[in-house]
Amino acid sequence: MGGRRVARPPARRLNGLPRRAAFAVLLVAALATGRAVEGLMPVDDETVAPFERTGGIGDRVEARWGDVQVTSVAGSTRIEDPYGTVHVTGGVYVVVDWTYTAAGEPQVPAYVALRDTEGRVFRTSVERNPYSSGGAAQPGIPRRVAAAIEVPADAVAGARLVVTLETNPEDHRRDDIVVVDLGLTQDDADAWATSEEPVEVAEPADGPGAAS
Amino acid sequence: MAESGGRLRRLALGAPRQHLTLTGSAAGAVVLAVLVAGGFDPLEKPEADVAPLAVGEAADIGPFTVTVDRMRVVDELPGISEGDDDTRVLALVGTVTATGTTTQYGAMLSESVALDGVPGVPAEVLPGETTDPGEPVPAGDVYVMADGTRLDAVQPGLEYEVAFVWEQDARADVPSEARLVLIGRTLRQSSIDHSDEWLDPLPVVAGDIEVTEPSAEPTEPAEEDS
Amino acid sequence: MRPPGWWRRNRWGLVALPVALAAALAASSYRVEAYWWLEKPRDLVDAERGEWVTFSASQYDRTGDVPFTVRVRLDGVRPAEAPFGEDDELDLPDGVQAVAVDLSLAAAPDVPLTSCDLVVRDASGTEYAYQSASPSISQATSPCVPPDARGPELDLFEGIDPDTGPRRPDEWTVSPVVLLPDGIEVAEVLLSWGPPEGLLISAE
Repeated sequence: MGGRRVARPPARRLNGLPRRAAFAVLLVAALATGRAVEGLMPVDDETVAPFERTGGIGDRVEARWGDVQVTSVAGSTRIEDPYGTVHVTGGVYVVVDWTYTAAGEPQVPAYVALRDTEGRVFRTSVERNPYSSGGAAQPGIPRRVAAAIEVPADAVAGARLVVTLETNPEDHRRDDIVVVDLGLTQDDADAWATSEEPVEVAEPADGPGAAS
Repeated sequence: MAESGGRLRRLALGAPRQHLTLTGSAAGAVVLAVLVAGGFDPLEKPEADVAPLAVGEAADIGPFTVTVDRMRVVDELPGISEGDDDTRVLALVGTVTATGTTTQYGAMLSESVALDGVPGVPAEVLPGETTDPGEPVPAGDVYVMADGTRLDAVQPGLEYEVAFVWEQDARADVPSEARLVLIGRTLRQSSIDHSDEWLDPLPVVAGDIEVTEPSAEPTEPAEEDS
Repeated sequence: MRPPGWWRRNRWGLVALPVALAAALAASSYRVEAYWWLEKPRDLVDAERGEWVTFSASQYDRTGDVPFTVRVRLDGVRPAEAPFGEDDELDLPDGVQAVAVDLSLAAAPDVPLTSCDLVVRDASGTEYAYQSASPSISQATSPCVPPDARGPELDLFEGIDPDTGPRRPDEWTVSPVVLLPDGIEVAEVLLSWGPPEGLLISAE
């Protein structure tokens, strides 16, 4: 044991150094514990989750950036987009007519999707899943829009419409998103999966319209 | 020149010992900083194993499952390409599904299927753009066979019968075989914004497929919806 | 002798603390500029209806910063009869009104002024923007220049001559039309050629 032969260090170092070392170890341990707890808990998912504003058909669902009111839902295996092109799907086209009223300043609800009960997300595109916002809507002037999205027939029952401003889902963190239960059942899915009658997808228009 | 070289040499040889230790610690600090920042990950893309192409069998390329069925020369695709005197259309028919739980957009799909070394493809190179002749050429567009409309989004849980389309310069010969490359991607966290994305495109499947000419082809199956 | 107290031992650290705090805040505040200051016109010049005001700001294009000076007068806000720069009649949905914002402007004819934004605000601060194309209206793309003599554009694209059209007059008037819900009174007009600068004119 070599340590025994070494001369005793001065008392000051004997008292000072281990205390400091212990403090450093404790500090690192505290930080590591905090990091481990943060990793174990769903802190990130919880703190950045968007605020879901929920409602059903006909409800005016209010969000930070305006309100959304679903006026009607239809479905078929075929749609006719605003340019007259007919699209045919192997699943079901769900066509949602809804009204958007901006709050505060002109804004565009650019993210529109259907979310099924399994958590699958079906977003709009330009051609195959037509949705046009008509550009930013002036606050207080209702904008009537339509979105048609193709989904497998087993996604129809219980599907919800999700609407918010930012197209990138990463940017939904801590923002309001509107989630509307479309009240769809398996009967709707079965009927639409066999329907060959094209559903027309309307162009965007301003004003309250005939529905409300 | 000689003098400056001599000075450098003298500097290198005659550097006092302390400078060496100092340099050593500085290098150590840099290495430590790089390690802490997550560095030293290989920048080189790992070489993926390229599987042989199996016609009629599903290939998992990451975001999509692609089944390649047949390839033919099309004089015209109604509503898609009016194949004129300058170009003809090579159409690869197959089926596509999205593997994940969210919509994948069509740009990634057309980038995932490429033709390698077919003369006259691409038919034209836009001014200001250059193409590397050794580089596989991704499909120009993808169309849904059921209605002839462009597939700009692949929804999860649906199977699409599609045509991947390339334009070929009509002055080039019609190939009897074409080498097809399927490009796969990996779902991983982006180092830029830490979101999960399909990244690192790499060839995962490659092989030759027979190309049928329009004259040799039996009557077009009634897949077009009129 | 008593050892020096805690305050005395740490006096230099205490002096440095506010400086370090300020430096840390400044270092982490780069997003304030990108996501707040440059998001909307924030650096506003105030003006009253009926008076000429000189507004100087800067735009930028391929050549770098393009400073400009323009004189502006808000002549009034009135119900609109036609879209700006179009002869068609207005066809408005129920519950929507159209207001024309009459502005006089003066600037040297070689100053690019086409890329401007016009917003009207009501008394509560809600903003309604000039839109050249929407489902309910179609009008001139720029609310600030005569549609038939727009003057030069910013030099944004290589190979496109930024100055082709007819010469813009030294002084001109425009009447851009903004759609608002019925019953809303315009309180302020905000003109901007790019944030953060803007010209805020009271309409009362």
